[in-house]
Amino acid sequence: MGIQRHFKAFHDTIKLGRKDEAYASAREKDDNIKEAIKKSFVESGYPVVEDFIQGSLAVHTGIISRDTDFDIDRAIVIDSADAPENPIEPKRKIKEVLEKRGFTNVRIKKPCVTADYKALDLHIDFPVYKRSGTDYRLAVGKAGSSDDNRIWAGADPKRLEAWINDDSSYLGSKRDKHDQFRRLVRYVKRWRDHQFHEDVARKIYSIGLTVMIKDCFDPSFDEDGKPCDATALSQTLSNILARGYFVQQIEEGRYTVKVDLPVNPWRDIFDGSSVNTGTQLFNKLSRLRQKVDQALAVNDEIKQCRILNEVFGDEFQVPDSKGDSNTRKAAFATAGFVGTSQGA
Amino acid sequence: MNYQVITEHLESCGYEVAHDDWNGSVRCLRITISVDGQPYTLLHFCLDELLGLPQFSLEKLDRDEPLAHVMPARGNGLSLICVTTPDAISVNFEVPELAFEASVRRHVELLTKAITDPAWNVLELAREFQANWGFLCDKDAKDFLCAAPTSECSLLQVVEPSDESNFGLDGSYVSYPAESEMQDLPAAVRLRQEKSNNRSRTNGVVIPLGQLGTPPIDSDQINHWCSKAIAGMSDDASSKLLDVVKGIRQRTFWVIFNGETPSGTAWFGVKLASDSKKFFPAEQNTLSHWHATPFTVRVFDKTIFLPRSGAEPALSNKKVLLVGCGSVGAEIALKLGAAGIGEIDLTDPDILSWSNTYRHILPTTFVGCEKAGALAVHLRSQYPWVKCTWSTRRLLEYRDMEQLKEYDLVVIAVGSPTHERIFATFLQNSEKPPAAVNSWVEGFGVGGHATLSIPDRPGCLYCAYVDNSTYDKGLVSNLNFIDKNQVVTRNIAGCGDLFLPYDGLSASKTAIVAGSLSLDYLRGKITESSSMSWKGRDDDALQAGVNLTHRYYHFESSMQPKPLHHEACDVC
Repeated sequence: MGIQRHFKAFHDTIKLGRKDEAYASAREKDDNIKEAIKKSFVESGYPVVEDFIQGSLAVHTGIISRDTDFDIDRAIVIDSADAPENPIEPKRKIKEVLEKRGFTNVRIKKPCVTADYKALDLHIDFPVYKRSGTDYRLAVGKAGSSDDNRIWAGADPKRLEAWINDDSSYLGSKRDKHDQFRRLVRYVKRWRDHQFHEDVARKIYSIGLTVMIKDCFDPSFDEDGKPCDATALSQTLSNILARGYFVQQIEEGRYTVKVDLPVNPWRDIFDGSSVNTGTQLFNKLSRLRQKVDQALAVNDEIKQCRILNEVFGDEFQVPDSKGDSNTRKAAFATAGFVGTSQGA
Repeated sequence: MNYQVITEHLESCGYEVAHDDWNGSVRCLRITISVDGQPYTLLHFCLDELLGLPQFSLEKLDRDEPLAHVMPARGNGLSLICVTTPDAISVNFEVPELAFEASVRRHVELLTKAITDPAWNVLELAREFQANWGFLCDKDAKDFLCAAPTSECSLLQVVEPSDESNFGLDGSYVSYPAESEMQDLPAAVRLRQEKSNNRSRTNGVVIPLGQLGTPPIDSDQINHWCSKAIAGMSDDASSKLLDVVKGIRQRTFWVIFNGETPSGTAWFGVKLASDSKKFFPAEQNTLSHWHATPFTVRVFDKTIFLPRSGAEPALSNKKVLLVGCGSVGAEIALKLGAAGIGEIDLTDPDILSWSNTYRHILPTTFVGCEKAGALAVHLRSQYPWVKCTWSTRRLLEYRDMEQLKEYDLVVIAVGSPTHERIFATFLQNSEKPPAAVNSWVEGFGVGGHATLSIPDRPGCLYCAYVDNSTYDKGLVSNLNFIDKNQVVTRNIAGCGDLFLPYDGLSASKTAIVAGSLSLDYLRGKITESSSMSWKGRDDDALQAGVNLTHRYYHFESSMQPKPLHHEACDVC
């Protein structure tokens, strides 16, 4: 299980959680801007009835950005009865709030309002939903979209989150297996950032990778419950490549990628993506699996780390010598207490 | 049983077989055989059902010298032949004629060897001395227990069986050294000694006879055999005997002989009884004034008693502290005692209550007693040589090396992960701490675990608490089969009576894994820090909606020691 120590160290390096200290300022800014949006919406006659974090922070698969900025997906929900007919209207209100508060690059994109806050390296997305009971509809459309392209489209952010967080299919140590799944998502997201040109990487959506990994996840633990992330990654990648996400084009070796959302509106996450994106993703995923298998096949930890360093980048560190480990030893438990089944 | 088929089969094998009635009343088979040119008759009493190897007696044996494994039965002209230990064979009861053929062949082989090889015959008679002596004794006689410290010539106090009990020590004759300075006298014998001081008599005499020859084969020969044996003692032994019995007059003497045989030291006895008090007949060539009754002797010597009854004398110098005398701890205590551990100190602050009844080994007569104290009484009564002290101290009160340094091992069965980790930290930070075994049982019969932490070897209790997912120090053991953070306790009468649901069998199995690690460490068979688990069924847990761990579903090493060390443990 030697290589697992290095995967663990790699994970500790790239992992980003909403409660992480590094996030404190961004979180504070997010809270402030959220309050301003709420005030603006009240004045506009459609008060915010719910807001929640969605995306990788909500499902605990966030990674520290290579550009050192922080991404936040903050969903703003208004009541269906109060919602304006034009879905762009509340998005414009958000744009106004952001611009007044020093955000730059504020743009109304199709699914959300997006903006940067340079001083904090913060990138923030605000999708807007209207809600009726448990039915959510997403405000879709750009500022200049025609009437046909401005719609309240069916969406189910809560069920998507629940689907990703669902651990009911695992046999034994459900949370440990779900933790392994989340680590795999983080590894693959970092691999994407390292292996693809920025322009292509932007089109390999994190949610697409997350859905593929969730669908194809094959946990790997030894008899004693110790995880082997490398084996789990290899097995999961094999499943992904064989699953049918990649559609061979007439021209040999060319692929498109199609991954459907597992919840309403069940649309293809990669809808409209190019053959080039699909082909690169297929080939590089295949290469990733080969490299992980290659690392698993050698016994020398340093050699293993060198292979994985090529794949994931310098955050997967190569120790100087065999006994040397960049993995921290066990730290104190973070829980105050944990329920046990131990008696005598 | 169809004796016609058996007869035909034996005849086809060349034996001469006759159906007959023995003494005109009991159906029997007579088989004539020839050994060393002489005819002998094997007699078998017919049976309805074959339950073991068919037995044969030798009819009308007319020899001066006894034959090994052939014991004349009194008065009926038959001699019983012992060709094997009944428990050591499995008999073909479905084809009995084959069993008869094999049995007859073995009888013939044995008789041929005994008759044609006199040296072997004598050697076998000596080897089987104690068993042959037993044939002369009254089978219904009460046990005679001898707690003589050595096989040397000495006087013993003898206590007769109590009128109040027919069982155990109270129901037996018990003999022990007349001078009660014996340090190693078993606690139970000491208790019997204390209870019977005014009823004991100094009329037991241990007499070593040196090398033993052939035993007497008939009760009528006992007097003569004993006189000859005493007269044949070496001058030194004879002189010692005279010294020991000097001035002692009794109506009864219990003579406890011992002597060497090819199979070890044999102990056997003869009770000498007379109408009036007499001196011990040490110098006489005859016991004609005494009525001699042979009896069997059970030696209460731990070098014999321990290995014969399944314990190890080598563990009798080990000292163990057992912390926690609940259902698991009490079972561990039994395992340690049964193995022959010499000293077991018990501690537990709890009182035995009615709620402990079905999964605790202690009987309800101890309800209301301190568990440790009651267990100490129980252990001493079960294992004669164990030395047992007890206290009501808690685990954390033992954070004192002055108290711990005398122990070879500390076994912990308190079911408190918090206290166990605190105590483990104390041991880690101490100089020359004893090895420690931690053990715990999980609910719903899914399993139990034990860890053995050996000082200066990789692997400690904290290794079993590393969180495999985060590599943090965990608060629950990574050996567990039940996933953390679930409600696994139950209550019947409110939260004041919460309990973890497990049964006595789970406690026993957990004690077996803890006991195995403990004993193998003390035997020197395990030299690395180790863990051991047992895995049970999951149906009760699943029915209760309790989630289990990956380890449960993939664990295939029940009852096998595994390395304890975890590479992410910061303590190691």
